[in-house]
Amino acid sequence: MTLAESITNYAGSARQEAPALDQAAFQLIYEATARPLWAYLLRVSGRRDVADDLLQETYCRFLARKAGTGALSMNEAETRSYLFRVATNLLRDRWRRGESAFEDDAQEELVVEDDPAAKLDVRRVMQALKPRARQLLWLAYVEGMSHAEIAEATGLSVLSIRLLLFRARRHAAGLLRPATMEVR
Amino acid sequence: MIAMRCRYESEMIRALKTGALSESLIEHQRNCSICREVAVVAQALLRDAGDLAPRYTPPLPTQILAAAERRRRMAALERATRFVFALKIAGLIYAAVLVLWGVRALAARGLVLPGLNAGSLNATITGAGLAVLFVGGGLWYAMREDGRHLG
Repeated sequence: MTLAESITNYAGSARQEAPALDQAAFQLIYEATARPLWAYLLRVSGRRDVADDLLQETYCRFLARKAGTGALSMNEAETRSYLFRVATNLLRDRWRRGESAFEDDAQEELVVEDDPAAKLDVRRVMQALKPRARQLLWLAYVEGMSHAEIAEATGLSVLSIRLLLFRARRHAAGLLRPATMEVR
Repeated sequence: MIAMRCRYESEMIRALKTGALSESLIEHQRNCSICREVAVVAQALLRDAGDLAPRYTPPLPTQILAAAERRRRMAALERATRFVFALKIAGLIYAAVLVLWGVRALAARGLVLPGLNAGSLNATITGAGLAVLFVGGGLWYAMREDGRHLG
C-alpha cells in the first residue's frame, strides 16, 4: 500500500469502523512523516525534549481531528502540510507561554560523526536566528513549501513571508558563508 | 528593505532538494546573488536534515495511537464533567431565584419579616436575574473556549 493509498483509506475509515486498517494507514503516514517533522521541531525549538513532546502532541491532534470531523479527506501533500501546520502552531504556543528555545543545548543528544564542522555550524546559525526565521527557512528550504503554503502554516500573509524569509536567508547566509569556505 | 526575489528561486530549491541541478541553473546561480544565497542556506539545511532524520527513532505508532485514545477519553470525561458542573451551577441559580420568588410571595401575604416588602424583593429578584444572565453568559463562553481547545 502506498502512502497516498493509506491516506485515502485512513480518511475513508473515519466514516466506517475499520480499526485494523485505520492503524495500518496511520502507521504508514507516521513512518513517512515522523522523522522530518521531528527534525523540524528539533531545529526550530533547539531542544530534543520539546521536539519529542511536540511530535506526540502533533499526531494526537491529527488523530483527534480525524475522529472529530469524521470526514477528513486529505491527500499526501495536504496531510504533510497539515502536520507541519499543527507543529508550527504548537511551537508558537510555547513561545507565547514564554518558554524560550535553546534553553538547554546539552539535551540534544545526537552524535555528530561525519563533517562535524558543518553540522555544528547549522546549529549555531539556527541559534543565532529568531524562532520565526528558523521556521521559515526550514519550511521553505527543507520542506520545499511555497510562500502560500508557509503563509497557511504560520498564519502570516504571503507578503510578510516574502520579506521575513528574505531577511532570514540573508542573515543565515551571512553566518554560513565564512564557515562554509573554511570547511571546503 | 526590499525583499528581492529571483524567478528561478523555486526551481533552484526543487533542484537542490532532488539533487538534479541542471547546467542552466548552475550557470544562472553564478550570476545571481539571490540564488547563490538560496543555495548556501538550502544546502546546509538539507544536509543537516538529512543527517538528523535517520538518527532519530520515533516512538512506535501504537504508542501514539494509545496516547491519542487516552486523550480522547479524558476529553470526553472532561466534557461530561463540564456539563454536570454547568447543570449544578444552573440548579443553584434556579434554587436561589425560587427562594427569592417564594419569599416575595410570602411577603405579599404578610407572612415574613415586616422589613421585606414587595419593592425590595423586586429589586433583589432583578439582581438575581442579572446574575443568572452574567453567570450563564460566562459559562457559555468558557465552555465554547474549552470546546475549541479540545477540538
